[in-house]
Amino acid sequence: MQFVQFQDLSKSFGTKEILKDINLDLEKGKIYGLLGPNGSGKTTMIKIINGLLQPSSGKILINGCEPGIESKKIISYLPERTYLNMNMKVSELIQFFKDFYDDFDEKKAIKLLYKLKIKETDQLKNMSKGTKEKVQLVMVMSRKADLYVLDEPIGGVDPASRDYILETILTNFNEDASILISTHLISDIEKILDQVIFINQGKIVLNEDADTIRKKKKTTIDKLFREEFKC
Amino acid sequence: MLGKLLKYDFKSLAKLLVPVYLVSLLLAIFTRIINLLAEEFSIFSVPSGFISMIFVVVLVAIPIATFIFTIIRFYQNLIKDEGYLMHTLPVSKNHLILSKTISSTFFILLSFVFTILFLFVGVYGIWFDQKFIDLAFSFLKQIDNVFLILIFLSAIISVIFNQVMIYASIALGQKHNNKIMFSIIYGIVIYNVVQIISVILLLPVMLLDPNYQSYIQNNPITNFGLVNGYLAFALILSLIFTIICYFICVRVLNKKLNLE
Repeated sequence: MQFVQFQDLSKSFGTKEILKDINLDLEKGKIYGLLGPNGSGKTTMIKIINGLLQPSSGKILINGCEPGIESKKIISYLPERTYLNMNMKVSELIQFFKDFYDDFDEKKAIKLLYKLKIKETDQLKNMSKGTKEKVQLVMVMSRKADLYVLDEPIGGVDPASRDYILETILTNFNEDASILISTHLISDIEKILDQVIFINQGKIVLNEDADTIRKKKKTTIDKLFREEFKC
Repeated sequence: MLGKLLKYDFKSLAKLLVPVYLVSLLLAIFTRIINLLAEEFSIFSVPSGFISMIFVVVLVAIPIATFIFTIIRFYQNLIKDEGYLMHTLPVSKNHLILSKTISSTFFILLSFVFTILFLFVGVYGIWFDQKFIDLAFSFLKQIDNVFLILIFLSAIISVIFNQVMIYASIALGQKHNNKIMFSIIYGIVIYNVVQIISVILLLPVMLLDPNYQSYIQNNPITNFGLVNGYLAFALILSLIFTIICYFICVRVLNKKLNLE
């Protein structure tokens, strides 16, 4: 079933065209890797899915509807930046997610934070950047969403933390749900991907099953990416 | 969901503003003490004058600071990084803006109450006493009740209008790359458009109304009926501008949100 549909979607900022005639369908139950170099349009696509940017032309449908209250109930979004209110304590943040998202699993969040040795009384502003990112990831993955949209979830953290993050993602999402992960650190995530989408200069240049790519091209996705986007 | 948004907006504004009010209260108490000491010991007269001056500045600054804090909070919460969370909550833009408007208006009105309260704490019995209050009340009693109610309502609508006008300017400004500069430009444009429309609508009526002309020339205090009519007209006009700015803000954040 097509869960997310990009239909002839373009996005420009002024005269600069960031996305060009994107046609793309995302199905339920798959892990998608949205892979491309910096400035290729990954984050713009993700922001459009979440209603933070509006398409200049074309449209996007999520579960048959344009982004709105209903889509936000079923999409769990991790942006590439820290979006938390720094004046909050962890316990207040948990309560915030519990208040606004019916699918938020408080017990799971507390369990995951406990593993990270983060206390509910900890103040967000006193945490390191990496810890804040982990707290944010825990909140996002503690929802029982239909689609998890993760923008550069491993971009700013050390290799040891990357393993923790990937494990958290893999062990905490519904089997029926989809995940869209955007990154340029492909070697770290390629083993978990079902489908690979390459984007370059605002255009989808590849959209194929990860195993098929490996068999057909007889190479890893990381190597294929390096060849495709060689400077 | 509006109730939940209000809960968090009230909490976050309280975290910012309660310390400001507490410090102001302490300053009021300190002003009172030092003024009382100055009455007894002349050595305190110079510091008491200095502290009193600071106290007056702080009193004036309390509502201004509250207003500025509420605008900064709106910008940070909906347009800067926190906006990535707020705009992906399953709530309507109408509720997001309404919650900000209600909580901000509450704190601005509260700041006026605190300003008066701190004035009493600081200098009641020193700069003014019961006689002055009685005089003020006897003056107010002479004034028409409807006039007073209209002035009171106009003040509240003016607080709400100023908030919502700036929200609309920020909403329009966020569509551009330089969000702050364009917000200021839109603010100036909206303010001037509102002023011009108000003058265009009010001036001909005033100039052509023979009652108004004779009122200006003759007895300006007793003809409250006429003044109330104009005040009510201006109040309705402000209300209409407030509603227009509110819907501009909601619509732009709905259709043209641009969290680049």
